Amino acid sequence: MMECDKHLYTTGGDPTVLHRRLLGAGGYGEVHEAQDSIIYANRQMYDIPLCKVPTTFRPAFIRQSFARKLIRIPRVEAKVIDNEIRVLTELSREGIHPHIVAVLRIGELPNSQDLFIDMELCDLNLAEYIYGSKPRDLVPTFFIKDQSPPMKASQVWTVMLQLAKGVEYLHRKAIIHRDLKPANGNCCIGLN
Amino acid sequence: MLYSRKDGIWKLADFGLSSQLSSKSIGVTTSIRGTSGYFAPEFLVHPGSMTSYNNKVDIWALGCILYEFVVGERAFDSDYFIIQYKFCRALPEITLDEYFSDEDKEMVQSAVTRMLDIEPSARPTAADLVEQFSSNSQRTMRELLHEVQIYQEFRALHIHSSEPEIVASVAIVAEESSINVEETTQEGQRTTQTDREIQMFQQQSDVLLDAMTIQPTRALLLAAIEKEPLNFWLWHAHSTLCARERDFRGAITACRNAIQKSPGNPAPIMELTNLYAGEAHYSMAVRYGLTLWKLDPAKVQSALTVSRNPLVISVVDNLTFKQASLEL
Repeated sequence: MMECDKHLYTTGGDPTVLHRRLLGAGGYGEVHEAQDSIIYANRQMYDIPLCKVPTTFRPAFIRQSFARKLIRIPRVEAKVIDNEIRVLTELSREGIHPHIVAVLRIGELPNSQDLFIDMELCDLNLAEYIYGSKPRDLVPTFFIKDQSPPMKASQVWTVMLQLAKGVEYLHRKAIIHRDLKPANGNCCIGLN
Repeated sequence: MLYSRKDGIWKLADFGLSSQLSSKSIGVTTSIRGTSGYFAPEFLVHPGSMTSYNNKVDIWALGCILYEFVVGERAFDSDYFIIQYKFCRALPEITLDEYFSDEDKEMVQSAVTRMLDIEPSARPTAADLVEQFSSNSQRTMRELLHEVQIYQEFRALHIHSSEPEIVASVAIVAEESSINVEETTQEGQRTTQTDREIQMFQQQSDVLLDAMTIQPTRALLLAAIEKEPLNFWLWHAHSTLCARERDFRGAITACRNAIQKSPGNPAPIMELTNLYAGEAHYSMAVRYGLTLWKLDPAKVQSALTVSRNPLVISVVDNLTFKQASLEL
């Protein structure tokens, strides 16, 4: 990973995409905020042969930021990846559900086995919403609780309703999420 | 659980562990991966051995999230506590603050208890939850609208419970009226027009010099408040600083402690009303605003019209500072 600029660097061996910043990392690999580079903004010749899975959803907003999840192959079992990709294709086949993060494309990086999943970029995750955009593990709980603004009942019910709608859709599609939690440290941009 | 500001809605993400199973069929897993603390107990029975589960594990996780949302702490810090709960069936206590009405408290309690049932089949389905949450959110939205209406009427009636927005204009009024008060109370020592102008000029320049050198901190402000607790502007400056550090609770507890200590002091009550109104807790704002109304109006007036401390000027968003320099 070579950093070209403070804000703009390319990684992952994909020349068509500029990575703007790291959003999160985990056992699977990492998630970057990314942008299609201008030269390759018309990705026609590049995108199709790479696509492992036919995506129903073409990137309509070229040059807009999206979240790119890089899955480092030796670190993750093939079974797990197949599973995730199967679920995501199943979900995107039906079109976009308002309470499920939209997947823009799934593919393989040019010179490696690594996979990428491009998703819509979101602003913050629920843990940041609850605890006031501070990572929970860094600060003791009693401290955060005093810091966080008190929740109103209407806030709680509205958010919970949206989450329940998402889960209801998944269950109707016979999909179990199995990892629901406030900090799905996937793609998020803090409020500041 | 991600929030998209563009759409203004919350979305589910990260399907790395998801699996395709219907509610009827039962999944079998030998290995557990995922985040500790959000697992349903049926995941955790015999470590290493086969466990069976269905889509009610998501309902369990939603229950944990609801708990965490309202309480501000995780329901189960680790898997150990989940197992403990499974055997002794004692749900961590849900203590909700006054921002929740009794009805909401009941709703939260019953929803969490049902979603965190040990028996998966006893948990509600996602469709049930959608129905229940939507009726709850509609009800609370209606209540909120009602509160806003009450608050607006309240504001129209009691303008002196000043809003942060009109602080600047009130400050000028307060400046003028403080002179008037002096005039009327100290009749024996009436000064001439020019004398007073000179005095005012000196006061203001002192204030400006001080404001430029003093770096306001919360400790400094609290010390100033200790000296003159009746000064509303000090309280307002304190919560402005708190707001800058995003410590809403700190500002509120400071005001509350002061109210408990001296119930007759209007300044912290006024500031508390402001704070709640700023955070859109209108019912609380009205509640405290009404207690303010019961106090002696002369005292309330004096809390607004006391001479302003230089610290205040440097803090209240430089609004008064600019005003003062313009006057000079």
